[in-house]
Amino acid sequence: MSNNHSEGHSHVIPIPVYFRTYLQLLVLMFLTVAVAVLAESNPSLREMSYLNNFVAMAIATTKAMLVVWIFMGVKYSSNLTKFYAFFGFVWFSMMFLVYLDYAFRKDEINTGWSHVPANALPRAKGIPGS
Amino acid sequence: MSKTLDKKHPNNSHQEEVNYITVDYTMKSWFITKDHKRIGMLYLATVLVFFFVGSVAAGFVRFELTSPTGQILESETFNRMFTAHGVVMIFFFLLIAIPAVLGNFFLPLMLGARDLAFPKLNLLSYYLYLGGGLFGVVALVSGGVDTGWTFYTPLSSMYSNSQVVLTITAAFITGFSSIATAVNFIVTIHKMRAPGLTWFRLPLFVWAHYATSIIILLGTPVVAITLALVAVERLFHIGVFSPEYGGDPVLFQHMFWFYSHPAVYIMILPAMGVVSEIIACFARNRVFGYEFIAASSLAIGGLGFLVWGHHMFASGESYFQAAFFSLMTSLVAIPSAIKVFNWAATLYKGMIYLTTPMAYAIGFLGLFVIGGLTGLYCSNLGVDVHLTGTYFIVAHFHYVMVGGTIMALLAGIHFWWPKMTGRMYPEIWGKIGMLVIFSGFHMTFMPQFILGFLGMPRRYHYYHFAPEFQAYNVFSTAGAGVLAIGFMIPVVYLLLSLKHGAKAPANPWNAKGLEWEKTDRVPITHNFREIPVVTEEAYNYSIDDEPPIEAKYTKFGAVMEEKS
Amino acid sequence: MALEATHGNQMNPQKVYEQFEDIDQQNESYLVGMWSFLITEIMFFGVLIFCYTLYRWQYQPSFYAMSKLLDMKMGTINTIILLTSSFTMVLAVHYAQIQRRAAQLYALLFTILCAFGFLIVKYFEYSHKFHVNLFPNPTFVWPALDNPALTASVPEPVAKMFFSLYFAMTGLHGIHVVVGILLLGALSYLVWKKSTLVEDFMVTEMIGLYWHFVDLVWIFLFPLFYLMPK
Ligand SMILES: [Cu+2]
Repeated sequence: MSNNHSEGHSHVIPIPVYFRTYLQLLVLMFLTVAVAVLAESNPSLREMSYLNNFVAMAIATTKAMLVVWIFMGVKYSSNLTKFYAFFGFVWFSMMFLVYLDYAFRKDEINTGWSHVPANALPRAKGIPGS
Repeated sequence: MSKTLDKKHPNNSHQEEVNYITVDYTMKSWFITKDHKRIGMLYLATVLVFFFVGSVAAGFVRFELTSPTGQILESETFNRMFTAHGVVMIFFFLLIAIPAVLGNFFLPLMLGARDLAFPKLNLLSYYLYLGGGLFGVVALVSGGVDTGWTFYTPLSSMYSNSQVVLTITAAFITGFSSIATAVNFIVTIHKMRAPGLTWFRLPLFVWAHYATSIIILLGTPVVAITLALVAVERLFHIGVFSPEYGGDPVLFQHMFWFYSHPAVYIMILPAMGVVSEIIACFARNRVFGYEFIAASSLAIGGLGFLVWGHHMFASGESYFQAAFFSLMTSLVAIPSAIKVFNWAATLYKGMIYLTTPMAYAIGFLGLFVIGGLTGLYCSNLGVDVHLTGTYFIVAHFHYVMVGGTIMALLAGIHFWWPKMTGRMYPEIWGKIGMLVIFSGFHMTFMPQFILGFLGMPRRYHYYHFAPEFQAYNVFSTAGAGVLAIGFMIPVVYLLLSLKHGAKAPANPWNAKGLEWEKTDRVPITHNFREIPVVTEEAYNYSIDDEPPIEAKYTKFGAVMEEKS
Repeated sequence: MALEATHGNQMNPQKVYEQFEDIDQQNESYLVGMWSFLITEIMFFGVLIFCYTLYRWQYQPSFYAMSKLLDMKMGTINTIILLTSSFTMVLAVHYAQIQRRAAQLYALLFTILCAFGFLIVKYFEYSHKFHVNLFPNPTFVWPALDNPALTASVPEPVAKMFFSLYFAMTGLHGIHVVVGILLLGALSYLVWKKSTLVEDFMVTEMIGLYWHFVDLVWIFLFPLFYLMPK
């Protein structure tokens, strides 16, 4: 086996490590479902169910990190691979600059979100139910 | 060397040398090659075809505009013509030209590698490009598109009756070709540098291509999926940008320009890399502020992603964001200016040889400065409201893209022609061609600045509301004619030089760099007979270096003694 | 020049292609190449996820009502299926590394089975949506047939937007699953035929990375669509 290799990706990870990660992922999944169901069904929690946004996204991010880190082997790979593995996720956040636009639209004369009158749309003509 | 090859060339008294061209003459060996140099040459031939197609469309547009009421085309056809010009030139020529031709050919040579990291992927990217191009041609032949190359919704998704889906498919496939090339370049630059070739010994050409590849990687999928959403809206009514569904068409513009502004840097950064090489070589001077130019490539790549909103100052984005993007756009001028000043400083106290590549490179500087400075006007929020959507913008981006990319492509092709083909081109014709292109270019686009400032909108077929525009338009069209002749000149003499050009020595310009110093006259299939070890900085020039080859050898029919 | 060299140990013969110097350089190149490709995939789905967040921010109450039309049980089952397939995929990589071909083949086949399971569940979900006319084309019927009371308050355009996003995002993900099945199928076939092409475990590793990415996307799609809070 190539465990003695210092460089490269020829580390062989023992199966129990993978299995533990798999179990962790399943537990996290049931957790996120449970929180969602609970927030829905329990009237006292319903008021603050918006918090579930954060819980669900935090759990999803944790799961994603587990998959990237263990299953995709980034933990055991070189710094260069680590860089490329996280670069994309970081850069994706750049797109949220678009919120600068929509967050300030309410101050505009024309917000651009108002619905177009149906008769101005070509498809609306002769379509049942529209 | 194999004797058998001599039979094919009985006139050659010398033994035929084996290089990447002579290693196999069959057509098949070219079409299934994994050699990055051959793939580069295939790309060169293909992009020229698309350049021709795009130019013809441009010719129609210019001819139509010589009269305020049009000449021969219907207005619908006129719309399809300028769209064809934009789509073909941008998606099939400018975005591909320098990275896929010169980058493919010279990156491994400059890095001291035997090939790119993934040769099969490289070949695949060529065929993806070819496939995308064929889709594009089919779309053009079967009716064309009338939305402009920007495919703005809801025009493209709801109203247009043209081949939007086919064209989008073509752009989508070509995008994947770009991505494959970018992945290849990134891995090659990271992992395949010769021993001793540290990051700050890399030629600036490599830095520029690294930044370009990152942009392609981060940007291309964004436009691909955005255009795909337009296609699924047309096909299946899945309308993410549809105002009918409470969506915002401006969101399409956000997503489109998220890629398409950085795409400008995909076109211009490699051009800057080429120009850095040439200016250093023919000024016999180490590039002034090497680290700054290298870093400014990455800075342009990064900042270039934060300016897309300047395309939407007048299309309904919020003022707050417009102000932000106006500021960021002005900031991008800084790394660009760093480059220009550093090139100028490289020329200072250099030993300047005004060869054809150098002439093109200096022409690039002139055009890029005009293009860049007019870009600053447009970045200014108040000024842009007047200028946006006029011929001022058209002239501006042609100065940057045509002036930048095409001048640099021609500069690079002339500079490396001896290495690519083993032949010299005629120097005198090279200079004539450069002068014709340069003056034709100004003739074409200078009047458009004035036209735009006077208020002529782009993409209009008729301007009978302002007949005084006609003189400028006629002048511009005449310039386009000169430009067309100018582009013919290099094509003719370069093709002729393949047969009649003097045989080039291994390093005709006495240039520095692995591709000149460590390879054969024409590189062998695996580039280097042994992997070079780099011990010196890039551009280790001094003004006492041997001059470039004498002009008398760079004529047709000249015979050069083999130095070596 | 060394056209072919083998890895230092006998158990794991990896061919070094001629453009590389040694096996470490080659493996690392593959990994960096695959990850830079996955960056494009991140941006690919990123656009859709971004558009989703924007519209949900704009139309949160309607989107909340709409999410009740999706079947959380099916979503949960699909999450379990994909997580399991990811686990069997790493097993396949593991067995490829230690050259246990039969075990690798079974792990791959199980992964494919999971992928088909995912698509079958998806098929039931989609066909139900088509059945009650919730595909956003002219046949769209609103308020929704299966829950008119809940959806009466939602404007029809927003409903169409929700289902546009739903079909675009899960559809693109579904296409990735299909591509994954094709890749895994080809790989299993080659392993079964004992092809020399797949002696190098990196092939399995690369396809594994792709498959985990498909899983990764679903990890985000699941809470975004099925677990929406009020
Ligand atoms: Cu721009």
